[in-house]
Amino acid sequence: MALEIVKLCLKYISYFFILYMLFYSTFLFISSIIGSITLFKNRYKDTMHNNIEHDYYIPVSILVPAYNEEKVICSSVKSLLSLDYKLYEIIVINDGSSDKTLECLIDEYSLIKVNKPYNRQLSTKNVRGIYEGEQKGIRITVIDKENGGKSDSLNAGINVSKFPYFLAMDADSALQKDSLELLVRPILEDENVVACGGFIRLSNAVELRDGVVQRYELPKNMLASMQVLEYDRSFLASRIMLDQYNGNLIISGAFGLFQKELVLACNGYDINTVGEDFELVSKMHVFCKKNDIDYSIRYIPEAICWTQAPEKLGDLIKQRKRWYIGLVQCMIKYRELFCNYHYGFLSFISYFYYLFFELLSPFIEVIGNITTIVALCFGLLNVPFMILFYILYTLFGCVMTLTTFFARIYLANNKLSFIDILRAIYLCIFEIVFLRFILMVSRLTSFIGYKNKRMKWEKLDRTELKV
Amino acid sequence: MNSLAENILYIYLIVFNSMLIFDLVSIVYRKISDKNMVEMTKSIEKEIRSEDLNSPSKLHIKKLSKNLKKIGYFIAFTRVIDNMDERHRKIYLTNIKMVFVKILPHFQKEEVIRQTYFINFLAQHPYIYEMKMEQLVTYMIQCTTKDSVYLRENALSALYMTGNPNYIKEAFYQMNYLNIKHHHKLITDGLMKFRGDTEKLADMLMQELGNYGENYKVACINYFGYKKIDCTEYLYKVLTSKIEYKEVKIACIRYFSHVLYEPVVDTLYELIKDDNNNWEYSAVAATTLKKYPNRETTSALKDAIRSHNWYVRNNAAASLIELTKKDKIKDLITSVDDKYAKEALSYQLHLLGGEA
Repeated sequence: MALEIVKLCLKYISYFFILYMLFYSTFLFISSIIGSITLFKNRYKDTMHNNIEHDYYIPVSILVPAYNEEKVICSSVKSLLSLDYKLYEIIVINDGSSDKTLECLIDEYSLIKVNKPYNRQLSTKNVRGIYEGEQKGIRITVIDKENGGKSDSLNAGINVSKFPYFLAMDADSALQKDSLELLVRPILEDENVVACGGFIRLSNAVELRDGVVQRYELPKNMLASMQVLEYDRSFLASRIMLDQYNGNLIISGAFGLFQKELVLACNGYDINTVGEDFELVSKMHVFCKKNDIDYSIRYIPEAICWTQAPEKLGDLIKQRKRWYIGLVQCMIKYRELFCNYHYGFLSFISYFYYLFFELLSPFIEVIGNITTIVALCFGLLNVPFMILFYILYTLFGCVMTLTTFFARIYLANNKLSFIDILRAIYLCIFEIVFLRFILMVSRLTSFIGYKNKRMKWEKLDRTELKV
Repeated sequence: MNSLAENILYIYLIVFNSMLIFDLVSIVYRKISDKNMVEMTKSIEKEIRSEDLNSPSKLHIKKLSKNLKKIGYFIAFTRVIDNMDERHRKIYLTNIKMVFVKILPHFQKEEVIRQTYFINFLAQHPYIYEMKMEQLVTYMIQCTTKDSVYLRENALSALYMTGNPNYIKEAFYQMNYLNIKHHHKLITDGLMKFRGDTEKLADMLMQELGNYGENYKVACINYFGYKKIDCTEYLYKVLTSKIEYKEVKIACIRYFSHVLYEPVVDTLYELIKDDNNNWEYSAVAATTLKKYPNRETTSALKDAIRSHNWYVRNNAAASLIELTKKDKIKDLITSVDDKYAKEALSYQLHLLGGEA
């Protein structure tokens, strides 16, 4: 009788898994195809002069929140000064750093303390001082404030910014010369565009000079290389697909352009969540839908921001735990998106995707592994089928990853050495088998010790940016 | 269960193989098309070099009329043209301009991306269509009402290059009539590139302004301002109208900072005071008023720096600092009792290079 019950349970569990994996693979397949086709189409459009090249651009405030970033902050600002864009200002928000972040900026850019009045539209921690200077005709402002976290810093930046659009980015990131222009174009094409996200690429083994890539290769560090493949798959496949129906629930905090008026109407960044980027975009979706505002949130894969990937396993786990917590918080906060016809595809595809393939996936994977062991113990496992299935599934994942990786390499005109091509091929197997396992474990354990450090910045080991 | 398992494996295999095929096909396609493009460019270059540019042979024109319908050939042809020097390019294209009229019906039926390419080529080489090429111009005007912003923008660019205000009039009329949303910044920027007589263009736009919707009105008024075109009386009426759009009125206030018109000052004084209901007007008026220096302006700005609205306060402070003589600025700051106003004035003084 007990065996019968186990058999029945396993039968239904196996049906669930077959369906789950089929859905996931189909989603990956469709999104990879759509991603690749969109990239080729965009390049084709560019070749056919289906673009807008104008002198008259929309002024943008670039916000760079920084906490203990003395190693990278000056080179990050330097990269921003090389942007090929007519009118912008740079605002660095020093969030109570205990290192020399502020001093570095003051010395490097000859900033002086000013008594600048600003519009306190969003409440933030106390601002201790504002420093200003100018380089190449571009105003650089540094806000020195008490420590309050990334969201709080961004809110302070919004208060001080003077332009109608702002670009939020990370202190360890660098933009390509044309990135800002490419990110702003959709606003000129369609006035309903309220936010645009770009493509985040990993800069660990990349050399940029004046916003132009001089040398591109896969990082020597294996962990960073695997993340390169992972980022390409994630940014070029799923985000492009979700973009087809205005369904992206996230714009990466490392590189996102927002309409200030709407962000203010949404009360800015939520300081009580660690996934401030996910939270803001979800909030904008809900706000616009509830208020019947015609809006569009776009993803522009051609606009590139280079950022550093953690090279140490501990740092990677820390980073991913934080991302996962942010995801959980936002999914719970915006649970009204679940199965709600009012939100259309946003609810039935985007929210489902993040719920089943991101949020619940570590639990589903654990249940799957336990089930496999139980089935094996009871002699109910079709072992040859299982092995074949896993091999095929791994190969399938590799082909998807390589498709997006090489599509991106080709379209960005990056030259890759033969050795790097071989490395990409074998690393994608490691990425599926090894990295995904680590990520699963880090997600499962993400809430351990969370309460004690939820407002703290994620501190990863940084190396100096080569710009 | 076994058959289900097998079926699933088959499904996976099919999906896996289709992905592989997709990858391989796209790699091969790219390689072949890149190679073909290089070959084609060389061949076209060779052919044009063998022709007399002042009088290309009938055979060459016939061949072009046939081959330019193929987009790959057109792209290769463009590359060759781009590599020619300006003088030869102009001579050659002027002498083969009938080819573009011949291939026009073909492109009119083509997908939008290709139509955009065709229009872009024409916009880059206006001498093809500027003389008695009504078919091409009519087609461009039609393109300004299409859904694709790129096609519209390229078509408008081509029309600005003609230097003929009537074409712009017709295009704007149709775009406005069909309620085509085209960003006003693109329109203003485009108008700035108009190659003909700007006064004639401005006269035409002024006559038509009343018929336009908000977007086109804002674009035109901004253009008048940047070009310092005198239509002060008319825009004063627009500004004082009770039924005009808010953005249009704001564009008018900005216009009066580019082109001075004394009668507008009283209206600006009224607007700057109304910071409760219409703070946007007040904020822009505070900036514009610095162009109308007199005692009343100073007084209005002094009131405005105490405004509860941040933008009005700040703009008023900037104007006030600009209007105050250097040796009087410190007295001005000291005389102000409002903390926020003092702060705003001090910062504006710092921006001007003074001691904050």
